[in-house]
Amino acid sequence: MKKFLKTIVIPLLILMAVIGLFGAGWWWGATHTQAFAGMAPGEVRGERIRPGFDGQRLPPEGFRPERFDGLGRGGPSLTRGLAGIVGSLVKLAVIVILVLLVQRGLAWFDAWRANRKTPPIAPPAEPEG
Amino acid sequence: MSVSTKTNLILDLTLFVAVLTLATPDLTGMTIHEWLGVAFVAALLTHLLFHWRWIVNVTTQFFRKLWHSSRLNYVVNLLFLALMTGALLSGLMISESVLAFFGINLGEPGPAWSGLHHTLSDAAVMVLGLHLALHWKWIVSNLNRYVVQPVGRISDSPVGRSSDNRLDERNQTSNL
Repeated sequence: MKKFLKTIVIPLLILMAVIGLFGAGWWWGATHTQAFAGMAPGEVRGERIRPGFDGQRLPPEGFRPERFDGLGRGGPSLTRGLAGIVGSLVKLAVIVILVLLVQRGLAWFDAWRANRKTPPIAPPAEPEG
Repeated sequence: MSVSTKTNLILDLTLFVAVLTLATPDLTGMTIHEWLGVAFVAALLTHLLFHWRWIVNVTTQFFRKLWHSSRLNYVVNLLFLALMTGALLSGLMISESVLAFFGINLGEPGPAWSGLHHTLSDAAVMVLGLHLALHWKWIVSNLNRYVVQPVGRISDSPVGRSSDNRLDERNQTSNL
């Protein structure tokens, strides 16, 4: 049971947590930013278009063309940069806390198993006579 | 290579700050991002050389009886190395400043390289989290030993206290 937990369940849980976090970030990027705009499917099968103003339509008023990956190759921005650093730190903190919790859980489980296996201490025998 | 813990800590902190900065090209702009990526290769190699003995020991004993934590560390580190190498290589493929500096023109990079670069970089940050978590005790104890305690000693020293008193006196006179 312990081996099964340690070799299969716990690694799977960690992997799922990491993939889940990564997936959540990906989903947020895809739905809230232009970062994945190049992946939008077109009307024809297999066609990939820039959503919003492709297909013979004019770009919206005031549109400034920029690089397709959404970042642009413009100058640095302190606000966006610091927000990015804080975002990375939050991601790292969540992962570190998750792993430390798992380690604590495993240690607790080990201690609990060891306690359960230890036979109760027999009371000292009363002297005869 | 035998290196003191202090040197290791300084290099690791530098690498950590470099990864955070590399993961945020908005902070530096793309040109510095590209050159920082190139410089990061050298720092990463130095980090590997500092831990070379551990790498060799675990590699030779990986499939033998080995404490499970070392094996987990090894797998995570290997994954991190693969992701960082992939991110740096794909970054070079879409680079505009570094390759131009060396007179290399690869033409317009396809969107696949850009996508791969972003994916690998994001995954590398995630695996870095695992790497940090697995070394958390070492990080906390050495930060405490080499950063927190020395700073605490400076503020507790008579010099620190007297300069604090002088500051207080100056503040009081300026308030008067």
